[in-house]
Amino acid sequence: MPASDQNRLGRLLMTSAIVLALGAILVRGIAPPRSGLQDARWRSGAHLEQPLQLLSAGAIHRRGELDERVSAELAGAWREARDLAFGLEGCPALRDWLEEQDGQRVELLVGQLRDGGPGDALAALTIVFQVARATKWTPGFPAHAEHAERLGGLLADWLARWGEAGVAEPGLHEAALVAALFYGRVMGVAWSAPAFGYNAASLDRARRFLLELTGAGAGGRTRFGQALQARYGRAFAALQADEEDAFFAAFAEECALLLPDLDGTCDD
Amino acid sequence: MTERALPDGGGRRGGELQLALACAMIGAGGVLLGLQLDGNGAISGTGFTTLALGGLVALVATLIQLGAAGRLPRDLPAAISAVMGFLGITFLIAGVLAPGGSWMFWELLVLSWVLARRRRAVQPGGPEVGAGGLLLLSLMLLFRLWILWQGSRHEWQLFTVDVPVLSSLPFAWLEPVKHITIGDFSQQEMGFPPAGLDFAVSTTLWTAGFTLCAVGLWLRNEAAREVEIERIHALVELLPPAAALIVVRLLPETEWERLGFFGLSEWRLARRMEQLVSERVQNQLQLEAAFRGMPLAPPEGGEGFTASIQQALAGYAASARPRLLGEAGETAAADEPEQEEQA
Repeated sequence: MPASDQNRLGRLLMTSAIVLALGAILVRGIAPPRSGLQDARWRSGAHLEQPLQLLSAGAIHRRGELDERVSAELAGAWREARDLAFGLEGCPALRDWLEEQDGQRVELLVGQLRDGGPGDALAALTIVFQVARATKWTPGFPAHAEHAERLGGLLADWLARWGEAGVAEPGLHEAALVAALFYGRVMGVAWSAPAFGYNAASLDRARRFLLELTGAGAGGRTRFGQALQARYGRAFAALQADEEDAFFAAFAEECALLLPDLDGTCDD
Repeated sequence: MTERALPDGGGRRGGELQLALACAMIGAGGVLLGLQLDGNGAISGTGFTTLALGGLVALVATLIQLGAAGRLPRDLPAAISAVMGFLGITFLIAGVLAPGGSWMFWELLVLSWVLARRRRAVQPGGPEVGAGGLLLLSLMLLFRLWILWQGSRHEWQLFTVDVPVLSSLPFAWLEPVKHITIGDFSQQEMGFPPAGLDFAVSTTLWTAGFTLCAVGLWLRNEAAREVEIERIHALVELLPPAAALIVVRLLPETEWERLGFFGLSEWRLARRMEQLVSERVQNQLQLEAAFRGMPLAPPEGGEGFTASIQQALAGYAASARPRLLGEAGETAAADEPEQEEQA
C-alpha cells in the first residue's frame, strides 16, 4: 500500500477511534423507554370506568351499563346471554351445564359477541367470567380436568381474538390482561387435576398459547406481552420458568389477589 | 531525519497503522459494552456508575504504572493511544463489574490490586493489562453474565441446592424448606430496564465488546512497542551502513526495552545510545586484550568446571589469536610513524 494511503487510513482509523470512544461514553446515558402501554388504560375517550368490576362478583350491579356499549345488532344476543348467565343457579359442573340447552345457547352467544366490536367483546368476557363464577370447574374426586379445560378453551378463544387488540383499547386493556391471568389459573387446575401425576397436555397447551400470545419465547414480545410484563411482571417471568409449579403458581397467586371468588367452587 | 533514513516510510507507518486499528477496536468495544437491549427490544445504556468506578481503577493503575516505569507520550498519536489505553481498561472493568451490591466492591478491590501492580518493563504507550489481568476480567465477565442470566429468569440467587429427601416429597407446603439458596441478590441490584433484559442479545453485545476491547488493548501494547522499535531503527540508520550494523550488534533489538530506550525523546535516546555503544566497545577491547595474553594450551590435569571453562577459552584464544595479533601488529605498525612524529 502506498505510504500516502497508509497515512490516510491511519488518520481515518484514529479519528474513528476518538469518535467511537466518545460514543462509548455517551451511549451509556441512553435511558430505557417507559412502557407507554399502561397509559392505554387511562386514555381519554368513550371508555368504561373500572371495567374490572364487570369481571368481578360485583358485575351483577353494573351489567346494565353494557347495554349501551354493545352494538345494536348484538344487543339481543347480549341480553339473552346475560339473562342466562346471571340467572344460573345451583353451581352445576361447568362442562355438564355447557352441554345443556342453556349452556349451549350461552356458548353460541358468547361466540357472536366475541366477534363483534370492543364493547361486545367486553360483554362476552363478562358472560364467561359470570359462568365461571356460577359453575363448578375444580376437579373434585375422581379427578375431572375436563371442566377446567372447557373453561380454558372459552378464555383462549376470547384471548386469541382480543388479546393483542384488546391492550390497545382503553376499555379492554385491563380486562384482557386479567383474562390471561385467569386462563393460566384455570389451566393450572386442569394440569394438577389427576390424583397422581399431572396432565402434561394441559401444561403444553397453556404454555404454547401464552408464549405465542405474549411473544415471550422467540421472535420478540407482542404488545400484549409488553403490557403483561409491565403490569404483571411476575406472571410474565413465569412463562419462562423451568418448573411447572412455578409456571402456574404465579398466575394462581395473581388471580387469588384480583379475583378471590373465582376458585371454581361457587363459594363466595 | 526519519524520512531520510526510511525512504519508503513503510515500516514506521505500518506500526502506527496497527496502533490506530487497535484504538478503533477499543472504541468499538466500548460502544458495545455500553449498550443493552430490554425485553421489548428497545436499546438503552448500561449507565455511568460502573463506568465511573472502572475509570477510578484504571486511573489508579495508570498512575502507579506510570510512576514505576512509564514514559509520557511524545506526540499526538502516542497521546491518543495512551488515552485509548486508559479508556480501554475503563470499558473492560465497567463491562465486567457486577451491576451493583457488595459484590461490585469486592471485585473493585481485587481488580485494583491486580491491575495496579508495578511492572518491571517500561510502558511506552500508557497503562497495560497483562495476561493475568485479562484472565481475571474474563472470569468476572462470566460471573456477571451468570447472575444476569439468573436475574433474567427471576431467579434471585447464584444457585440453589436441593435438600435431600425433603425436595423429593410432593407437598407444596414444604416448598420453603426444600431448597437452600446461595448468594441472594435483588432486582434493584441488577439495574435491569423496566421491561427486563433481552439476555441473548445483550450478552452477545457485551461479549463482542469485551473481545474487541481486550484484543484492542493487547494489539495496542504490541503496536506501541513496534512504533518505538521503528523509531530507534530510524535513528540507527542515520549512521553509515557498516557502523549501523555494528551498533545493532552491540545493542541488539531484543535488549532495547530492557535498556530503557522506549519512550525516550530523540535527543535523550541518541545520548543514551552513544553512552552504551562507548561502554560496550570498551568492554569488547578489554576482552580482546585479555585473550591476547592468555596461554594457548589449556592447563593439564584439570577436571570439571575449571577445566571445561579453561578449555573453551583456550580454544577460542587459539583460533582468534592470529587475527587478534595481526590486528594488534597492524595497529602497532600504524602507530609507530605517529609516535615517531610525536617524539
